[in-house]
Amino acid sequence: MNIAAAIFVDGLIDASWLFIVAVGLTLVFGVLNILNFAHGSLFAVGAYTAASAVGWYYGGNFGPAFLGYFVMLGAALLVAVAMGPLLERGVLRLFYRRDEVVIVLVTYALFLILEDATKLIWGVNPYYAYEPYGLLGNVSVFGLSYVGYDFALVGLALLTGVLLWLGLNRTISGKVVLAVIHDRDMSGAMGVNVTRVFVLAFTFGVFLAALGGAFTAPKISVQPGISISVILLSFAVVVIGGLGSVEGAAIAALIVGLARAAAIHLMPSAELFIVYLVMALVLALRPEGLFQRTTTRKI
Amino acid sequence: MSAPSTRTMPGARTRGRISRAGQYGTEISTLLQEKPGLVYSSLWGGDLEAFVLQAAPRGLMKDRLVIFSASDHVLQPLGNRMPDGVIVGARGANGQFAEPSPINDWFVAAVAKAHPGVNPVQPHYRGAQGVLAVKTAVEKAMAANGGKKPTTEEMAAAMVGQEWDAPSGHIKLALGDGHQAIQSNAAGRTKWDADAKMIKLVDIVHFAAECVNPPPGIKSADWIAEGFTGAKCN
Repeated sequence: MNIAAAIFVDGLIDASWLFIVAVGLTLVFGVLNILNFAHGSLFAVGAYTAASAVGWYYGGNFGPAFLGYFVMLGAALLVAVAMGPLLERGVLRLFYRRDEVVIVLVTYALFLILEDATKLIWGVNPYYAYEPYGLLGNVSVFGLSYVGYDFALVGLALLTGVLLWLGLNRTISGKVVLAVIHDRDMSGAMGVNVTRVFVLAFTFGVFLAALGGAFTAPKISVQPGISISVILLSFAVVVIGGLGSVEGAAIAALIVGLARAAAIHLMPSAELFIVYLVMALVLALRPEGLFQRTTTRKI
Repeated sequence: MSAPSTRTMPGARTRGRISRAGQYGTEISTLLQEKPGLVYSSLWGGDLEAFVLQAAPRGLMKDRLVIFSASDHVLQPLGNRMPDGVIVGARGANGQFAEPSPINDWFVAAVAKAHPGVNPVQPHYRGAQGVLAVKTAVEKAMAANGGKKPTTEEMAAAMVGQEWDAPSGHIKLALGDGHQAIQSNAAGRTKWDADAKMIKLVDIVHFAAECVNPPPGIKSADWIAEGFTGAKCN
């Protein structure tokens, strides 16, 4: 297989799960102006919940194998509904008026709490959810064998991106969210229930993190520590793409995926730092990120 | 890879160094492209499990030699998802590599009683050998100080050059002026046992401690580069 083609395919697969996770992070920042360090832990909770649900479903032979995908989707929804409002109303809202650094520290504390909570609930041994991974067979692309599930993940990422864009730009609710992103004070003055938008946006962000975790779980060993590597990559993606930009998250995820794939194929030792090199270059040339417009500061 | 590694495996190349939330798709693609005759990894734990779960369906572990030098502890969790014929190491003669002995029989029975269904592997064995090392040092120090509870310094002094028996075999602090332990090692191939519903290790080969560790006074990397001068093998 041509190396360029392999880099493209591998980069695309890598970008797909990264986009699903990172777009949730950038959406939460766009609406609530919070850089949620706990986003990686929510990915992990989604992965653990899906792994448990998949183990229960296939272990009990409760139905056709393909329904396992809906079980995973259900697991992500469960995490979002259970944790989104709880975290936003129970913790974050208490700090909205505080300095941004304080809120980042609060989300970091949430990250640490959730890390230990997952160990308390699921223990420290790895979990598997491998059954869905093999259901779609193998696909040969330019002579290399790939698992069909990886391309389904690409499809899921595309669907997520399209639905999110349509939801934000073609529905009234979405335009309300965009209005809050643009100017929350003016939105509130115009009668928008900003509190409800915050809860819903944060819950949707949690859903996206958990969705990424749930659908990544079948191809990995779900174990303590997966959250930190995810959050570091997600941060890099949202910074490159521009905080609060959905389109930016998509392009940045692709850039990060392709950069890592290129490094592994061509210069493996560069893989250690390539993402941060790309991030540094983007920030040096365009500090607000690729798709973030410079904004005026209110006095 | 460093020079000693290419000395033992001419033509070897490194692909992939770190875990990326357990995603190894690109590394697997590069390996598949290069069509190697041998794939080696020292991944362990969940990272190795993820690698096997992703590599096996893509055919990386088929029709080539695969060596996982630190992998005995993933055999039980992976079960029949680990292909047959993979060469496995356990960082010592641990787990299924441990040769029969009264102390190993006692240890395996004790683990079975305390944790039914758990096959003891390298972490269990190395924990045990550590505890037994301290026990031996305490006994030696007490013999030297008239039977009193030894101080930390007395125990440290007793441990220099110490030898003791563990479930994985005989261990001695033979290098580094009596501060660095050496023990035997082993390797075997995986084979799924459908009756026992577990991976058994077959074609096991043992290596004496002095065969796989350098003699005193030379660094491991230099010893390998020189061609294992003075190695005492079975």
